[in-house]
Amino acid sequence: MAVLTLRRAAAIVALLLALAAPPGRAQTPSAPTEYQVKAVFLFNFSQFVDWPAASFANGRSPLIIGVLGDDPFGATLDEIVRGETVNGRPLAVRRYESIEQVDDCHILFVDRSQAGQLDAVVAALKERSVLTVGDFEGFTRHGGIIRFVTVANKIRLRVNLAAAQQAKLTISSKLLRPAQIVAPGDD
Amino acid sequence: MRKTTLALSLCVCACATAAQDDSSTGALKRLSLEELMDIEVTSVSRTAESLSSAAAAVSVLTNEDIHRSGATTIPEALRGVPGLHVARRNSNSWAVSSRAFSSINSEKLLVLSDTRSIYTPLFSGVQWDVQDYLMQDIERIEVIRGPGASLWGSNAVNGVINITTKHARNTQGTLLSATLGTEEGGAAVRSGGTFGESGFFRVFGQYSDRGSTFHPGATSSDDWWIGHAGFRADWDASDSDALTLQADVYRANIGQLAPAVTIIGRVGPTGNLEVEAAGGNLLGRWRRQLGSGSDLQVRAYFDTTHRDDPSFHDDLDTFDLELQHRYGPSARHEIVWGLNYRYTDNSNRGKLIFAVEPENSHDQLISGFVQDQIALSDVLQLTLGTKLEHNDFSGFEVQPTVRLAWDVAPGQNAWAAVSRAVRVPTRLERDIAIEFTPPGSNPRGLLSGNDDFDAEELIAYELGYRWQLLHTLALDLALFHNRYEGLASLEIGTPTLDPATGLVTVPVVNVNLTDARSQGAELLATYSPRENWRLIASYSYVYLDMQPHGQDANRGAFLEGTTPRHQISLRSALDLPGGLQLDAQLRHSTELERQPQLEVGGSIDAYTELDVRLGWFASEQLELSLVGQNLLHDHHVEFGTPAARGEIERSVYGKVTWQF
Repeated sequence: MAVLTLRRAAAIVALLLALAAPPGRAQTPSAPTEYQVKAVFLFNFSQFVDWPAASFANGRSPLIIGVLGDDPFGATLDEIVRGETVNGRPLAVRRYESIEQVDDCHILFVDRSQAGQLDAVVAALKERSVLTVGDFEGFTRHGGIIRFVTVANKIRLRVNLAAAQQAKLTISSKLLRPAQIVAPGDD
Repeated sequence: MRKTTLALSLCVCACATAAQDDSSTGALKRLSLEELMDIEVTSVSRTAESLSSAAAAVSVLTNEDIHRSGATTIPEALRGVPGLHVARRNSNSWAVSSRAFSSINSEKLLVLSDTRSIYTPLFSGVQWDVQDYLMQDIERIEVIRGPGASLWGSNAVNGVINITTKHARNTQGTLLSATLGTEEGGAAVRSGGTFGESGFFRVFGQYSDRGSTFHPGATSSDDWWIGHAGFRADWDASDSDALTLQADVYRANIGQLAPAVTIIGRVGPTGNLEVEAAGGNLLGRWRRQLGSGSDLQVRAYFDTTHRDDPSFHDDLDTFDLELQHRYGPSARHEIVWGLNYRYTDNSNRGKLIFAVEPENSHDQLISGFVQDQIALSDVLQLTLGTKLEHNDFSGFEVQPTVRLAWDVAPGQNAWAAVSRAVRVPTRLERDIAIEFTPPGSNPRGLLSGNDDFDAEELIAYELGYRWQLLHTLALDLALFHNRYEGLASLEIGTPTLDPATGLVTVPVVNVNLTDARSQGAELLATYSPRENWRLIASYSYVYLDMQPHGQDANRGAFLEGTTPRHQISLRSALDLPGGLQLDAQLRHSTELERQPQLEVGGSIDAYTELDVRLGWFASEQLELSLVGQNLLHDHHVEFGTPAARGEIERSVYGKVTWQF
């Protein structure tokens, strides 16, 4: 009897499975890497920061996430912003080798390869509404706005509010709440 | 979120599960900033690493898992979780246990709802019939098998179940749903809104009516209804302060097939047996971010339950206050410590044969815990923790744990743990006073409480291995060996003679005279052959050997046979074009050799059952679903004594959910 029941159940399951849809794209459920997570943070910043209207050419021009220096994200960042919008604006990713190339950028990730040029980067972006993001020592102390800090293998945010205000950026409390606010001149 | 780094690690597991749902970045995008911050990454190698590094046997049911299971109650949603045994005794009663010892009062399993304990100190166990939820509003259910006592406290001997409801931010708008089927019907309404700049709330109400099970000879019916209303408000008071206030009220009428207590030779309640239950709770939580990696949380709740049972009338008020602080004194350490105070005020007035003495009891519990999670190296993590508590039932209890997690290789994680946990005596074990001989008998038999009955003790040894074998296949294995000492054994005490009346009283009491050993294995395999298709298989093995050293007049040896030796579950979740979802769960349980407290005829046959759900998102607002449960048999038995159990019938229900 038990065997019969099992067989009946197996037949029903087989029937259900036979209804399966055509094969989709192969799945890659591997655990996220540090820079996948950081890329998702960059995408989130676009949702939780307000830029002055003047920093966009018009109502439909894209919000641009820039990467300055070596690109640690690979294709991840492009994948993440593909098809996404913020207040009706599409998102776009641009890569820059030096600060001179940085044009209409709204979020700028400064790779550690640019650590030596940080003062020049900050000086060049003065008067412009660019949310600078970095993950190396001294980033917020030298005028960067958000620094990723890795504590016990988890990513934390440190925010230099004075620098954000200078850049005329409004950071949502939702982003500030889980972040740590650094005192001016601190890191 | 409940305690500590273990809880954090659990959250990481939840994220890991989410990340495995589809392309990992897609899943990451759905996480909140806080959840992103809980994800562990490697800062050195810049390569992928397993997230599932909790040094404990943990399973997480996400909102999606619960939704797709078609379950309308918590016990039904828990079916298929490895290491758990869920058996429905009748329409409104379940045995839910972890790692053996199945009984209706699964006293060795602690259950928390948004950190509020729903474990009743009277019987020790959970009254599942009044644990009603809008299943859509559950964020996740974490199931930790094995001792969780060092963090969560006493009675988390064989496991902890943490039910977490959604932040009010995530339940905005209006939801209307209606369910109608062969065994159940109901309706729910929920409305969410905002207040101030960063405040969110929801209010909800739900009514459910469930039919009786198959029980041809019964003189009473086990049909039941429950009505439940509540609210939750979450407010970000400042950049670093988050406040939560939530409350529930409920009322239920629960039909009983048999009285809660029967004594051979004594007349108990008869006729149509119904429990009238009502209750409510109010919980407030304040969480302050003190800096990077440091926070302080204060939580208080008041809970009141009233149960008018044919055998007794029970009123229980609980007040609970908890403080918890987490910080990282250095990069290698993460410390969590906390203090807890609980006051319970219980009144139990017996009817007919049932009696508790004294009727009124005020009990206090004071406890503290500390845990340090130490990064020994990049791949080795040591967790040391202990709970110290004082309760009015068994005095001081120390419940320590040592856990070690090892990241063997990318995608592979091993862990081991040794822990001590206790199960504190229940009010019944201390205060029960039932005459089991007819009135006027001499000698008189008295089932009585025992002030000297001590806590039951467990030393648990655990091992686990998690392996992301392929991109599409993940395995999670847990092994355990448990040694119990001083389990309850019912003993006939020394008779006493009252010289004035010549009445001889023979007391029967619980004494800590039974030891036990158990061992088991739990395996969970998750396989995603296609992007739109997930298969989840689980297998549980458990063996329990009880060694009564006393007379064991009632319990011990029988518990050996109340949990199935083998359980297998296979779940399939398939997304079809056109917004269709097809889900199925096939489960098999081997024979139960015994039922608790039933000397003959206690065995229950092995069974295989199947649940199927077909869901259709007709639009973004409207979801229709059709759910068939227990499809393979007209009716089957899962648990309980013949008088108190009903056979679970094949059932179908349809559900409409409209959100706007």
